[in-house]
Amino acid sequence: MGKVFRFNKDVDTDQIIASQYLLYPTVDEMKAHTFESLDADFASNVKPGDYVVADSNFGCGSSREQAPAVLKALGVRAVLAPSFARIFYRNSINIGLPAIVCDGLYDAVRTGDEIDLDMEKGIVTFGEQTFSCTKLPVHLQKILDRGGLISSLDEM
Amino acid sequence: MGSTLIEKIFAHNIGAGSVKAGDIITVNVDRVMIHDIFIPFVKDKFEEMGFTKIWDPDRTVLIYDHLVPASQLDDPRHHHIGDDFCDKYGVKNVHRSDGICHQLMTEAGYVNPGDVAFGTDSHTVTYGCVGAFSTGIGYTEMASILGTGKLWVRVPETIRVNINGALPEGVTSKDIILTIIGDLRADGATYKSLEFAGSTVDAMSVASRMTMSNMTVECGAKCGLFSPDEKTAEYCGMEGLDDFLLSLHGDEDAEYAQILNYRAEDFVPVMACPSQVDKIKPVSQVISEAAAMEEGSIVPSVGLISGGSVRVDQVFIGSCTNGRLEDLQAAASVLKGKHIAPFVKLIVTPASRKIYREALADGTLDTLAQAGAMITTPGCGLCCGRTGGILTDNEVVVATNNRNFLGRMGTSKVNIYLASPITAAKCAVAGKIV
Repeated sequence: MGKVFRFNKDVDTDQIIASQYLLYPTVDEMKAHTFESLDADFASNVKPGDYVVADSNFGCGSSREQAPAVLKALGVRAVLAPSFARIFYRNSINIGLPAIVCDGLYDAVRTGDEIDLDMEKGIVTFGEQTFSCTKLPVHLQKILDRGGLISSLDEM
Repeated sequence: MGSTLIEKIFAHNIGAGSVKAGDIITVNVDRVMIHDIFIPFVKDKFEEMGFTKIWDPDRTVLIYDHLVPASQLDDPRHHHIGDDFCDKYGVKNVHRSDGICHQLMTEAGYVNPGDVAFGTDSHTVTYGCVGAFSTGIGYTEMASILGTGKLWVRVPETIRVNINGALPEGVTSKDIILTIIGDLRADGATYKSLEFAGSTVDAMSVASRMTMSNMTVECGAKCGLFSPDEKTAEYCGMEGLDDFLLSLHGDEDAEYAQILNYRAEDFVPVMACPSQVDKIKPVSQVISEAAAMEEGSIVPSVGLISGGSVRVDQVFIGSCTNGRLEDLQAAASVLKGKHIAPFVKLIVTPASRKIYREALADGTLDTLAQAGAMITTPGCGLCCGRTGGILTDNEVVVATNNRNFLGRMGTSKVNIYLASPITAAKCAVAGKIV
């Protein structure tokens, strides 16, 4: 089980991690500023194993890979939304952060609710309710299973 | 069954008879672009992956533009890391102060019609203006291309956009693409290819097409494509187009996810209002709404209501969206013989050194300077909130770039309106949205 942090539609990558922090040398130095303009306490409240649940088009805007990277560095287990912007989606899989397409969840949960994700079955459980997720294409699931693109290259 | 433009580009790239939307293919990369913000991360990932040489250094281009000239203490570090990377791995295509990456990639001849290119910036979609596939990726994927020369892509579905007729006076390709984004919404073309066609598009300069390709990512698109024609060939310095390039148009019987039809005569000057790029309103509506608000009040996500409209503190004309010669000339034609309002700061940033020199030679820059403009060095400038022009709470900027996200040009209470260079110049003179 992990706690939900819920965000609205069209959250752009500037809102996930603002431009002024992109020049910090490492992702670990940036992560305290995650979602700063939307929820200044997010970075201190989120715990490893928690979830980001958002409405459609999560991660639109720039190509910055630091956006999924700071979420992963904070221990976010998965991001669940009805749809993702394409660069954010690719970047997430490539760094080993599950970006999961899931309809209905955003409307059902609030920040602070506890949910569970069974990645293998593609099912989210929230109390008595379950939500099915869209499975990743096989080649993407392989990249994710190996922990991202770099570890996948090692195996290829 | 025919093919869409993107299906033809990808089939040719992999030497297949045909490919269809939904296919996952591995493409051969013709060109990559890395800019100064992400080069340190690309280098780290490249070395972490264990690569010791770049698959083809001549197909690799490094461009310093976001951090030029350096304005913060961290900036020069990126340039030193970039220079070291190029020395170590033999990259010779380096631009340190020549302009914005997306302008230079076609202007300097790195990307040609039919090519497949990737860049570490979301506005890499710009090169669709010459009929090339190009899109933005993260630094880890860029590192893997540098090592292998290849990348997997899913062949996207296509939204066909037909635009026919003659545009009204004072309406530009910026007004067209903003209107389309407003209709499709910020996620309306996610994962898809936008394919533009019709007599309006045929009549456009490559520069005007570039404005449209550039902004297709703002509705989520993977690419925004125009068929190459004689203007493209001339722009790219080609003798003519070969049979493959002449075939690069969407077939009538291709399968389209959606077809949008526009009449050019219906377009009007529009703005993307604070702070969503798909919050599109005709300029006339922005004015009439402001006129109904209380004079002197500060309205969140609008600005200070003054003189029956929205007071404008600053105007920015530049960026990879609208920093080309025709954009500067359009602004100059509005500003000729006039002066900007006394409280307005007008910042003009040519997209490249070449454009800067052309605008200098034909008197455009002098006209702008006489009207009160600050002319800055070519580069990204204020578009990415750097190198001067930062704004504060409740201020309003009318800008010709591509994003009006919260906090992009200063505090999160800055109101950013996106518009064409003509609208922007008019606002600079009036000191309010007109």
